[in-house]
Amino acid sequence: MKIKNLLVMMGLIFSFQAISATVPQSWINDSDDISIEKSEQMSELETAYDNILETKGDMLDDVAKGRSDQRRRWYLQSIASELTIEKKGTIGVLGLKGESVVGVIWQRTPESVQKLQKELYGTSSPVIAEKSVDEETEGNGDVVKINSETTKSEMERQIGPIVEATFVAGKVKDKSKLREKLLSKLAEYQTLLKDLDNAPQYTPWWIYKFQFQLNIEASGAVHAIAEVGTEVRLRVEWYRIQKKSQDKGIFSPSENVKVLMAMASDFSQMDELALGRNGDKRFALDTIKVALGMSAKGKIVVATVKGKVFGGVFFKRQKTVDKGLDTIDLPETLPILGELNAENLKYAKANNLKMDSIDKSAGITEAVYYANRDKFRKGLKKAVKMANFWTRGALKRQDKRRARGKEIHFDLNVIEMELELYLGGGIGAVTVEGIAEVELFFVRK
Amino acid sequence: MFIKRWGVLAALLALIGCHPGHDSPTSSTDLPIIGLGEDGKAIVRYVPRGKHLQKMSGVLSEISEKSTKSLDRFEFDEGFKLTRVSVGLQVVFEFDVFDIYVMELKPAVDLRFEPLPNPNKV
Repeated sequence: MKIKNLLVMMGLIFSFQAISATVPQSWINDSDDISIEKSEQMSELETAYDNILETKGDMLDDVAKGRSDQRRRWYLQSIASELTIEKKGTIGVLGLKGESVVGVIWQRTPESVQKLQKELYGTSSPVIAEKSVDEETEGNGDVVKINSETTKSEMERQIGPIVEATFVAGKVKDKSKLREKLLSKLAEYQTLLKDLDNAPQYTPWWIYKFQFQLNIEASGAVHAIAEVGTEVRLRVEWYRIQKKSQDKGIFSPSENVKVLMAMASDFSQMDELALGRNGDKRFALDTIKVALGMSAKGKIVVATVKGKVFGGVFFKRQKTVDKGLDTIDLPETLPILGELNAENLKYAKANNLKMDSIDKSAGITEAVYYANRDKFRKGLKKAVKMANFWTRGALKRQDKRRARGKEIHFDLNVIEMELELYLGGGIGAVTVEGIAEVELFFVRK
Repeated sequence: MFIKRWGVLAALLALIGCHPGHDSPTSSTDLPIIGLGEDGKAIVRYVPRGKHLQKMSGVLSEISEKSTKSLDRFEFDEGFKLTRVSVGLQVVFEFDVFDIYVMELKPAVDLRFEPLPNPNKV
């Protein structure tokens, strides 16, 4: 009888525990609902998120205790890992393949670096320089950095070692063709983005760089979009030169610039994430990245089709702006490149979305859907609520680790949150099976 | 009576479920690992926190030890300055499903190694 009672109790306990934490469905669908109330679901979610962060934190403490980099000239500087959501809303650590919803980067604490320095050099630096989001999040591989005024000889200087290394590795047969094609592509990007330098900064959020991925064939051919047979990749970053002496009265933006200005204007919905309150300990929004594609008509669009993303545009918030946004006639819609299939057509019809640029050239059919900017702004407000959940949870966990009074070797300093943009302009957290079009980068203040 | 029966059944299921990974959590601290299967569909499996911690910490320490040791000994050409080495790591957890098939999920991390700044050099 006693054993039976014990089993009943165990059963009840295990039954109680066998509940997985899920995000609200409104987070991962096209809903405009931004109410994130204190509920049992949110409290379970908070516990599950904290459990993942605590496990990661303990794992790093274990690694640091192992002293694997003691008295070495190289050291483990940071560790990045990712969390994801499946379609029912369960959150977890990302394994195997799939899209992540939150990326976290733990960086070595200055105290820990100083300790390693003392062990190796007998002394330590008074201040350890912090890394920027760019430095911490940029991927691996070669990068070519250009702006509108980068000369051909400067481009040649940058691509020279890359072309040589690719040729020596046997990945490209014709290096002169590769050099020529790369230069041509870089010049093309310069022309495409040139008028951005002249654009006054009418909105606090403004473009600070573009990032493109170039895909290289063994023949030396270069493509903006990955194709079969392209194994070598090269990243190109274009930086805006902010010109001071511009006649703002006669500025007439191109259609591409207008689209980017409209997006930048809508990002003011996220100001509270960037600004916070003075002196607040928090994760502040540092950069917003949007995935870009090109329509069949050569227009810059937001890309929601995996194989059609050719790069990304990065926005940062500035303190001062130029007056005059009201003189520009910004579009009411946002062009989004999506697959042309029955599901999307039904969605477009139900939401009265305009469409164009139907591209049947690559075997896949895509169209440009014109999303409602009002819905986009509502989606951004929803993103603010979701971001508050992820960032506050991380901050709480950091505080708990610090409160333990133990030596801390790694701090969670950078959070990357990935969002899915729906064809109508709505926004949700990306799921493991989805594709992220908008990324938010947060740094700890 | 009804509650007792379900309690006994749940306890037995929980005991059966005490192998490395499950498709539902048996404890509030179990760690969910989510990935895409061959068919592109999401898979969720739960690993006991302790097991995950033990395995990941062990592998990370070993990789860190070997990487810093190799990098310390490595000499580069004069024309190159190596500033960062990034090591992507996937730890394989195998999930036995009643000995019928084995499923793999790989929680991934990215380790970044850098030269320790020399305080004696300005």
